[in-house]
Amino acid sequence: MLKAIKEKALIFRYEIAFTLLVSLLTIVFNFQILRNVILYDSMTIPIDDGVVTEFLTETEYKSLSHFNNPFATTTKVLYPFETNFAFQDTSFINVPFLFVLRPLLDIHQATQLIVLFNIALGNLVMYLLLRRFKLSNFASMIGALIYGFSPYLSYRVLGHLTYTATYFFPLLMLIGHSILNNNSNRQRVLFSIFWGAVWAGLYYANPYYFITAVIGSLLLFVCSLVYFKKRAIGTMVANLGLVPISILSFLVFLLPWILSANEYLMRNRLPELKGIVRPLTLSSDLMNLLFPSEFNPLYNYIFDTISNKNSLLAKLSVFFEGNWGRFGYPGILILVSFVIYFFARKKIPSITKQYMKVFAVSGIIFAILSLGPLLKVFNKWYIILPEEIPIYFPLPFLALHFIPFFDIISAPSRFITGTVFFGSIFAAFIFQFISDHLKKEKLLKFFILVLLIFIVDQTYFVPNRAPAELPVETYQYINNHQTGGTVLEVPFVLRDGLQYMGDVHAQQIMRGAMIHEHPIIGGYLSRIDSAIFDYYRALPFIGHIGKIIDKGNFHLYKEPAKTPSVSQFLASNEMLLEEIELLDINYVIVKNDELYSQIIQEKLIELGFKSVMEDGSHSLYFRRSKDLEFTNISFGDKESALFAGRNFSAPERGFRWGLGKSSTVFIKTNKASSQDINFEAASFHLPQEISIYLNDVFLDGIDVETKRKQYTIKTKGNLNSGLNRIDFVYSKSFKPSIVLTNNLDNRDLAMQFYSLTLE
Amino acid sequence: MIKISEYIDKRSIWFVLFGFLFFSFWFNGSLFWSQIFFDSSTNGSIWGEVRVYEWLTNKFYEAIVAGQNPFGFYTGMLYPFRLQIGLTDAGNGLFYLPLRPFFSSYTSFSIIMALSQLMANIGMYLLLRKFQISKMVSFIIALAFGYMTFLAVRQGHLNYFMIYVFPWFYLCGYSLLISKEASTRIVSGLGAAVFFALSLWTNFYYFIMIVISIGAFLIYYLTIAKKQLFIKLKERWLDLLRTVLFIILLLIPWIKGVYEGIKFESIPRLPGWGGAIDFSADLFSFLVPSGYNHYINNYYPDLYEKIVKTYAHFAEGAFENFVYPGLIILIGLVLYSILHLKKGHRVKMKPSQPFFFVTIVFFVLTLGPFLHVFGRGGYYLDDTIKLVIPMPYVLLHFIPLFENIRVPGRLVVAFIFFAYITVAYVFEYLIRKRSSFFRSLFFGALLLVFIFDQRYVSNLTPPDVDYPYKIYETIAKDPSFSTVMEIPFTVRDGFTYFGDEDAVSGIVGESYHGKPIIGGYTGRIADYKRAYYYRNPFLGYLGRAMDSNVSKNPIIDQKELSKWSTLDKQSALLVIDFLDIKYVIVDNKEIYSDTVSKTLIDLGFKEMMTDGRFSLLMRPPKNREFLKVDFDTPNLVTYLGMGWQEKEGQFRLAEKKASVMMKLTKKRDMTLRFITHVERPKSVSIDVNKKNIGQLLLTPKNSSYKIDTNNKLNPGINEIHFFFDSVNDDGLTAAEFEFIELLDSK
Repeated sequence: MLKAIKEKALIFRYEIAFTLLVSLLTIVFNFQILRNVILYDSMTIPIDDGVVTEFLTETEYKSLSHFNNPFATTTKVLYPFETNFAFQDTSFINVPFLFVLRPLLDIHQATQLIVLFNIALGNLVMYLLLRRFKLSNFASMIGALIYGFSPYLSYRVLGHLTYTATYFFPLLMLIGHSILNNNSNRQRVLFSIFWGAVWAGLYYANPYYFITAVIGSLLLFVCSLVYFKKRAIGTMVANLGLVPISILSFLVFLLPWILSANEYLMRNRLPELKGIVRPLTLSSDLMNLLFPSEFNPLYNYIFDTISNKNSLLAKLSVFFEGNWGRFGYPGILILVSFVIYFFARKKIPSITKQYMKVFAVSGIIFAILSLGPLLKVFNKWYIILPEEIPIYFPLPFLALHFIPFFDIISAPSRFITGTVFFGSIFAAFIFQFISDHLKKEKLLKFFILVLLIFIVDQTYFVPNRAPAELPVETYQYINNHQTGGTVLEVPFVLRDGLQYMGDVHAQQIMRGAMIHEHPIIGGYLSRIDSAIFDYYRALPFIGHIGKIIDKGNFHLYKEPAKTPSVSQFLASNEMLLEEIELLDINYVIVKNDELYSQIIQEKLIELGFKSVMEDGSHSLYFRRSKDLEFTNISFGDKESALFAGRNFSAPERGFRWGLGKSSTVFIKTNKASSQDINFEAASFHLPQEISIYLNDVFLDGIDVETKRKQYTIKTKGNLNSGLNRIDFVYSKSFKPSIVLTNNLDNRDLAMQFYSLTLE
Repeated sequence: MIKISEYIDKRSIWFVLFGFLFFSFWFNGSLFWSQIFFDSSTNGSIWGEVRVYEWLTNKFYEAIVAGQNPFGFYTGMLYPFRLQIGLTDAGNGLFYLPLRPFFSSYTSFSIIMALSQLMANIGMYLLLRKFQISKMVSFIIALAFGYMTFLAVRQGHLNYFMIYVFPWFYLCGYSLLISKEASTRIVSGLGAAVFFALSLWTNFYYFIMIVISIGAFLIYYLTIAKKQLFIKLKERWLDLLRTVLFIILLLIPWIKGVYEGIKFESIPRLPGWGGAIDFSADLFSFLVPSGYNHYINNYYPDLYEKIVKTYAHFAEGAFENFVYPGLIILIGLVLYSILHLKKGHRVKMKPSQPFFFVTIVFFVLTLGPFLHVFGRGGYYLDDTIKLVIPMPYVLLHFIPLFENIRVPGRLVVAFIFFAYITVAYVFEYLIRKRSSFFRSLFFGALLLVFIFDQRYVSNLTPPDVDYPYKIYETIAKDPSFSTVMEIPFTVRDGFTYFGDEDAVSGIVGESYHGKPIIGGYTGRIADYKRAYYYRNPFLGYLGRAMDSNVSKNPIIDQKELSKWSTLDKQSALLVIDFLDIKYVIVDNKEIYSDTVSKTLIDLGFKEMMTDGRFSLLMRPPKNREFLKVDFDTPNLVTYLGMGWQEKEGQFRLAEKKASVMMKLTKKRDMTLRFITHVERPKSVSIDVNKKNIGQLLLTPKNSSYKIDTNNKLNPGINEIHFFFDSVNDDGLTAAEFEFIELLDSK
């Protein structure tokens, strides 16, 4: 038995050695993460974007545990709005792992362990892929390490945790290779099913990676047609029948998401990216392709040293340290591989060269895409010509901006993963070529040299940053308290990838939501409907708190916070109480050592809240809701902002415009009943049919005329006690600037709402 | 039958010449030739810009007749400044020599225009024949070139009719390169030099186009046929060198004039793109013909307007950006592109490739700095980010000399020239082996296309204009030196105006009475000259009073407008005496005429005579000397030339080049004294009336300096220029001046 194991171990000695090496490097590079997992203090939270992943996966995990659709809507965050997970970065790929880890570990620990696992797996799957390409152990190991420990990860492990699932790219290619090179039809079918499932898994892991893989597959296909025309067409024809199988498998595995997305799209438009500024900000600078990670100890030391030498070097240092949103360095070994190829291309066998060209071209195209819509060089993205005319240098990414589905990509620099993937394969071919020309005795030395270069260039250390303290006892108190209601934590944040309101780093509220399990005001997700921002900002209580706790959008570890501009509440107590009642804000947690704390605490006492507990630097205030009813809305009043939830204009001469595809109105009643909804409205420009939903249940469709008229809808027993959401889904909307002459109004108008009552 | 064709073939040149003459009389009969019999200048029926150009040409001619350098400075308009006639495309004055003794200036000018087109026909014909193009194709293409569509909109810019310089320059240049006979090469070299120089003298744009085309050919051959190029250069370097020498010799007067211009003038700076964005062609404007086409204008003007409004709104009212090259070129270039898809055709048509390349170069340049498609010059990616497509023209903006091209649309002339040569190759290739019947049919079809597509309207006569000829004659009889001011007057160039925008005809009077006038109209006016009028206490008041659009005139500071509503009599009298304004002609039809007349009478002018609706007012200027420039005086502009900053404290800062004007009543030797402060030692060279009187070293310790004027002062206004060798840290100013005066040497 021992002998058999020994023999096996001897056969797989390279694989075992590589696994050990990868494990060791994963631990060393990410030591701080491992340390946090082991020495985890549940009373603190690291202040990074990881909390979003943790919140989403925890919610999905719990839903799935109760056999619910994990992507179903929730009101846990962004109260009183519903949040659909389908169009967030679902991170659902973590959920299967959570079934193993969550019973033993906290969600934070489990998530961090998954990250380490992802990194190690990325290396190993890449190694297998390169071995599949018949590359030597040496070349495969180097290629896999270059890929698996890409400098790009050094930034992503700090919060964008789903970007560590890099193993999907080599896995897809590996399975694809298995399909194309297998003679057994049964196995090919099985692989096709698996392939579809992995595509779905990739979508669940990271939509950006999914798009990257789609583009990568297209590039491989086109490059293969260019370099292996006959063979590529032959292969395509021979395997065409398997495509539907993979697609079907993909759709089956994606079914929960499709159902949830469909429900969302019934009442909403696809999230759209407005403007070009965000992709421009989050795209790589041309120089970023050459600037390494600030988390590499050597490079960090060099730039720290030179930053004081002169102003030019200081600027370079600032550029180096401001890499986060535009990082694009693929690693020196990939860059050098391209240089070696250029000089040695005539010596490389032609068939190998053809393969290499496919990977090189694909990698370069991804590098160009990562540069975003307009070329930037040292943060300069235009030149000014006379008459102050800026000249931009558009890049191919701009074309994606006009293609449906691809137009949601707002962070082009993340395409660098594609460059690293194809670049690593290309580099492995180069090292294979070099090792083929080396004598055996020199091979080991060369391997060690390359390994050393890799370690020097691609090592990163996760910084040890002080976490924020959490009022965990307060959260648990709320969780155990019998009264329902919403929790407002001060400071709070309402934030997505584009904008924020409140304290930009107050994402601890997400952790609070996971513990106390009450709905919260605010939240941090990758995409939030801008109408929610508008609603919050217009509220006299939450809107004002959001303003006075705002310390600016600063980098927590590099920039100082601005002093918040603290001022008294402007609205009357009556108005504030109306808002608190409608939103059921029963609990308010206030951090009591901030500039704004006193004003807020005094106002809470004035409004009838009572301090019920102290928890370190936090105080909990409680006030039981009076169960007031809000069933009569006059849209022309300024105060109706509280009920005009989503997609409404400001009041205009007795009405508000309903905008876009749908609008949401909030009403509150203290008993479930079968009252009718009466509303007075007029359609804009042309009559239209609208669909009305109450708490996500379709009530009826009615025809609305262009003249002001009263309409009545039966609630059919769907009216709940408490807050109710009425969605008006329009079939038509028009821009006055288009349908009316001499009109510059560019809003997308659907209907005029005058009043709404429950009777 | 054979005999007839042989007969025609032997005497083809006469038939060709007859053909060219026939079309010249047909197309230009009423436009130019008729002027021999009915001189429009007698009733003032001349377009305003033509009048200006004709006036400049006449000045050029007069300078030659007087034995002076025509490229020098001459008094005429914009008094007290002088104008450099030679740099205003007035070179046609050369051809006035045989004509002016017999014809009026305008008639001479019209004859030159008509002959220019004939020359263009002949030159193009000979050039194409040199390229082995058949007589028939050469004839029709030469005809089409001579009456190019571009000229349809240029009847107010007649110096653009000098298109003959293109074929003749290239004809001579080509002969120089291919001829085996030394004597032919010498003559060709001389010819190329003459036409090169002529392009510079008659139309600066055409000169630039020739330079760009030479550069484009060099790029083509350096890229495609480097070896061939070097062999030719090696073979012909002596001939080329000789041609360059010819050019330098011919340009000596011009170079001298330019040197003086650079030294004593402030070169007008183009603001931004100088309008190049608006004056560049739209990608699709190449397909929109002109409303000045004879048949469109006379038979279908409404239909044309409707079509353009509906489908090509970007071409509405196209003038500077009018670039339609004609159907012959459009069809020819499409055929060229189709033929080039097939390798066989491509090889056979290789000789046309360099011309096609240069055609494309000019096509692209014509599009200006930023691409416009259907009138859209960019795409908004965001509220603030407008994506524009920069074109190669942008590079020209940063190259000295070429930066002066502010109307890319005009480059279409070179595009048309090279396109016609390309198209000639295409037609030649297509009909080469065809039957004579086909060739005749082809010829007939092309001729019809040419006539209907390229005949421009020639019956647009400007309205008659009344001029006070009797008043001019009266002034002309006065032998003493004085200045004439016409009310209204203008100070106008291609960008801005001051005064009455339309009052461009003051130069007509100047041609009669020969006395310098106040105001004027020319291509570009230096900023300091405009500022002189704009800030002058007398001229500034009048200029604003006579501007009916003063509230919208962009150069007028609206906040200061109220300050100019009254006239400071004392200051005005100083200006009148300094500028020797003896005669003022008032056009009484203007609403401000009464007020202005009363003001003038209040200043001491007396009505001398009337001529129709015009009055002549006269006041003999006082024989005063103006020998001091005290920079502490608030409104000193009357005595300042170029290079002065606004008053600061008791001084004004002088720029690296600065000038003042002082007036003497009699010639005598005097000493120039001035008080100035400098930050660090620097030298200043001083010229009086453009003649150097010496150099002084200025130091921070001293402030008062004296220098003898070496008897260079003349009676009347004298210009004194200061040239500093360095400037202050601000990169602009050189010294603080407090005082300048002329002292009698004794």
